[in-house]
Amino acid sequence: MSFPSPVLRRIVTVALFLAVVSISIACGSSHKESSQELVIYSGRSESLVDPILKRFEEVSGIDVKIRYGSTGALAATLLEEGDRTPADMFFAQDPGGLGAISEMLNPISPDVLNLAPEWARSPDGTWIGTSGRARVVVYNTDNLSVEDLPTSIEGFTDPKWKGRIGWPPTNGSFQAMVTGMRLIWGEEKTRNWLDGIMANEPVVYAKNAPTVQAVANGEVDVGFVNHYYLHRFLAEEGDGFAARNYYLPDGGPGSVVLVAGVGVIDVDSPAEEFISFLLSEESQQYFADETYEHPLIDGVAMQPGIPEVDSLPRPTINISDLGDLENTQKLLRDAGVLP
Amino acid sequence: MTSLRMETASRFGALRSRSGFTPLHLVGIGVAALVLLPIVYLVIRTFTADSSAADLILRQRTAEILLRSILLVGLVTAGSILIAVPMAWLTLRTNLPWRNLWTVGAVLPLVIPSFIGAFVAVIALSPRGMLQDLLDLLFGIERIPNIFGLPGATLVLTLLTFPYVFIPVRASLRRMDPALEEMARNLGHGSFATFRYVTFPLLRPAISAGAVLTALYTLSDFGAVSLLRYETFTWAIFIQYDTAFDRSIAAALSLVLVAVALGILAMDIASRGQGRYHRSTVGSVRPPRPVKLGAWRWPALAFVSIVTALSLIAPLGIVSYWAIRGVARGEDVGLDWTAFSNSLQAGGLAALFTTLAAVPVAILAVRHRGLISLSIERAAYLGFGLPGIAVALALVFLGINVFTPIYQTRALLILAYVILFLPASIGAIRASLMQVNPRIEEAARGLGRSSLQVVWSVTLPLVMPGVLAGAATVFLLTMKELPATLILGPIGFQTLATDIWGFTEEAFFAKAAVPALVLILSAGIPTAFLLFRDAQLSSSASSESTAI
Amino acid sequence: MASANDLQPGAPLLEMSDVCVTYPGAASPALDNLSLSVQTGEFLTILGRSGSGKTTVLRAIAGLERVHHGQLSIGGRVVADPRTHVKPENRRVGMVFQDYALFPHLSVIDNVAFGVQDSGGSGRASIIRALEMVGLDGYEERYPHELSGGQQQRVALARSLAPDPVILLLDEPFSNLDRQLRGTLRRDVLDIVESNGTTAVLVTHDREEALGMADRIAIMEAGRVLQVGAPVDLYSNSTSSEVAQLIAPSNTVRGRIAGPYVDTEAGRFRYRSPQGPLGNGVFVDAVLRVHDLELGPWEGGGALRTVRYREYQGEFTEYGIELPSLRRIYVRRRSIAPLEIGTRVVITAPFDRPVLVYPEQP
Repeated sequence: MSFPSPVLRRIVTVALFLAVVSISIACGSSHKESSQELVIYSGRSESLVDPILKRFEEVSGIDVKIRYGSTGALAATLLEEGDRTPADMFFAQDPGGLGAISEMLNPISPDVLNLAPEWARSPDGTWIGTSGRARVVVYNTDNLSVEDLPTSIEGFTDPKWKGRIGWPPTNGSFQAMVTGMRLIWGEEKTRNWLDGIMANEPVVYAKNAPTVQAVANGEVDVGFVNHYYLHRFLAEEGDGFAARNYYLPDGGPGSVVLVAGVGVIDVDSPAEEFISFLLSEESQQYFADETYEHPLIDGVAMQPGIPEVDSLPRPTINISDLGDLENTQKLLRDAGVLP
Repeated sequence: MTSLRMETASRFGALRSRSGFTPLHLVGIGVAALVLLPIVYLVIRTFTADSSAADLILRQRTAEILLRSILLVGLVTAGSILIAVPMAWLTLRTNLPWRNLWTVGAVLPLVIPSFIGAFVAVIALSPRGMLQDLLDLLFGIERIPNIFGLPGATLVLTLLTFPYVFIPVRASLRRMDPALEEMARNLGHGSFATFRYVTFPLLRPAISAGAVLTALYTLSDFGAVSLLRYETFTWAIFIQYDTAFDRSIAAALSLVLVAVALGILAMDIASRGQGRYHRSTVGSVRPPRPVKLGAWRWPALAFVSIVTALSLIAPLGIVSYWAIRGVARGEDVGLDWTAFSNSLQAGGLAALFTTLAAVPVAILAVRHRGLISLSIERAAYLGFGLPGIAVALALVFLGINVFTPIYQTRALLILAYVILFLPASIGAIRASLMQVNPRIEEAARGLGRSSLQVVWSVTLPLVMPGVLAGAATVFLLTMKELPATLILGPIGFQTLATDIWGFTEEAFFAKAAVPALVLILSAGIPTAFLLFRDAQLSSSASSESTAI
Repeated sequence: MASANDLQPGAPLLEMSDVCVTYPGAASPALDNLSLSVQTGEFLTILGRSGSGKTTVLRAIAGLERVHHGQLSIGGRVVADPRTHVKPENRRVGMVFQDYALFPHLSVIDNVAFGVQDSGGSGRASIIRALEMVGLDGYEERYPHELSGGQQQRVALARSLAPDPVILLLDEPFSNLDRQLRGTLRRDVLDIVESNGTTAVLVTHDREEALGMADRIAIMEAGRVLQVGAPVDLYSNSTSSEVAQLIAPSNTVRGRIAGPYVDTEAGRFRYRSPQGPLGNGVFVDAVLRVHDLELGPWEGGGALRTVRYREYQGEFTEYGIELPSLRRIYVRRRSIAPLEIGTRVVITAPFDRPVLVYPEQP
């Protein structure tokens, strides 16, 4: 049999060959090959985590595979994947994400657990904090001064804030703060607060960073965010950046201090080695210097301008009680904050 | 030798088949099942959930967001028609200077992904954006209207999607026999009446086809509406996926979105009817005498210049400016070569597998008309209506629970691309195949070749232009795709699109500029190929381009 | 060249008996119990109007349509019946299409070589021979679009002949060509087919073509063969008025038998009936062939027959004559002594030639 167009035949043959090869490559890439590999699902963003991972790979010789996503999406994925998950550990932005998958988590051995202070870990030892962050109100310094701001987050339900508030309601830390409100204030008061803010028509941002940027731009006057985003902007753009953090002095849920943390899914993986690395002086210094977060071990110097955790007015709640994200999300949906 | 029976029992290319069920049908049914799978899974997922799906779907909030989506779709579609139809007419039927230039300019915005368009709009037009700075400097203007929300989303999406209307309308206008319009003039109608009663009705199928593409693109857009903070249905689904632990909510909302999209598609099918299968007149129609614009030349020139400036020059210029500034300052420009190669690889594999799936469906559709092949073709076309986010969600569920071996691999992502972009490829191949006289294949059978050999040695070489055009289109679409890539990309898999998205989401616009420029340029290559192929967007190629 | 060695002498090469083919969704069958046979070496033409099913006959023979009833055999082997369907590629039937159907992506030589096995080696000779036969040697490397319509059809013919088919099917092969080229190509095809000894079936709606090329003609109407026979036979002994009308341009008028004559409103003519003599007073359809009539001067009395239309065609002039019922019949006569419009005439048959009549169908 003769093919009239040998060129064509060659093209198609090559294409088919490529197809077969690429399928086999694609299928081959999913296996866990050895215990010297660590698969992490990270709700913390790549720009913050990547340098520390590189360093860990360098120091430990362990091959790290990481999947980035939002804390919520990854927690939902983990729940869906169940036993079939390739993940060895979960690096969450907030206690809510870790609480949601607590049934999948294995207790961390006590000597690793003790690396972090007691307030920053779960009492049952299923997860451990790796860095601290305070909830703050970021405000525009051209339009406002500290005196204009209320002492409690409740104050922002006043109609005078109409159109002046920015928030990222899909953010895990924000939702953890709302969980804190439910814990401290109860459901009804929390709902009233949400309704009050919604009545002020807050501008919705996808994340903390754009919220802070919008405050500095004067699109809105205040924003409910974590403390460290401001410091990243200040470092990049200088002191002229027209926004500052305001730590609510009432010590209510608006000034809760949260942690990013990790939980172990596969105990046979080198997950604890990574946890120890995260809580080492080197990593903690990195968090303090590069991400402007609060270190959780002693002897690490903070960046200037960031108050110590112990000096902050904050509510006396156990962070691990902030795990009930599901009902918080339901409340946010009911209030029309989330779609 | 296995034989794919392909008797093309037709007398006038009107394609009747006696042969009933063939192995080709089996392949086609497989492809159709692949496309239907996500929808079926979404339905199962929604109605087996703990929480009541009906409650969620019927909430007032759902209706509000749906209305917002429909409002945006309506505005963008209307805007695209208002830009595209005059553009097509001006570049084809008048003595406007530099018509070819404007034509290319009106096609190329297709290359710019919506999230890049939106990020350009944000850095240029937001309060304290580039335009604001400029106005402040020149005139001391301190506040410009807010870009965020509906106005920004409408502006960006209209400027990026009007080519979907422009391409088919221009092709249709080009195919149109000017004698019809001359006849109308001859019968005593003025030029306006002629346009109103002759030209416009003749263009309507093309406008409708383009409008549907624009509407579906807008409905399923995720990047632009998120960056520009206009809360649409796609956005709501992504938020549900991204934050909520109960994913049946996202599944339920996806179903609603799919229903709306299918409604748009059904409207199109109903309005087009048989027109979909028309064969363009062979041979060239006499080129019409160009309309002399006279004094209108200047407003016309201003119109096309503004459109091109806003839709093409501004995005390219601003991205280039930021890219060059970033490089000049020695900043980390954020170009990750792995992401670049991943983008190319994903585009290539998607193009390859989509083509492999599209060829049998196209052959069935053209050469084996019948109830089964019609159903297969319609099913394959659903991809047009399926928002990327809905397909991605369904495949995540399916991947975790059913296709476990390919979960978290590129294979699942490629599968999503195949489902989403199959119609583009089928459209291109089918258009080519319609130009091939079925007698030619019959002659080959008579000369002793089996049906499979005929496909290989005659049909495929003849439809190769369509196959390649379809593959180029799929490549382009894959490079631009965002939500499915975000959701289905395996661990550590980053593409230019996801990188850019990550940077813009964090407001690191300077870092996003270089990858954005690289993405636009590499997506531009297949588009340039398509443009080169139908140098003048000639009629035979129009249907392919329509499929983009 | 046509190999039918395994055939008994005298047995038909192609035999169709009671063949039915129905297209899906069609109300009536395209072929309706059609029977037809073709002898080895014969040139058969099928004449019929469009829609008569003549192309379907070729498609059934080539295996492009399935047979639902009846049987079709080639060279003594059953290739199609309701249970059997030998695939087109296994029938050794060559087909030439109206629109040539050349492979646009292949050169002339590759088109011709397409159906030849071992085209590089032993098949080479047959390719060269086929190209020489159609007079296109020297055009091997051209592509179809570089050729004229006539050349393209020659390539199509060469392509069909090169694999040495048992039977050659030609589907209106000349209808896309201009009149002059059609004549030339028709003669060439006849020469090639005859010198080759190829058995051929040609389908056409052109009666000149059908009459001029055929050993035998089959007349088709509504999926059936009305009559088969040598052209001369069919012309002079059409068994029905449909055949008579198809085989020559003619007018059919109602008439009544009166002795050896038939009386019509066009006039009185001697008659001939293929069914044998008819009794007085029988109503018939009389077929008045346009060429077989003459117009004479009116000599007073009788019915009113007037020239109402005249078309000058050079050597001949065609006249439209209005009959008393205001119906027109057409007469073609030499252009000498033209008649003016409005002239009263009588219509006669030259040399008192009889006209064909067919008893009226009830």
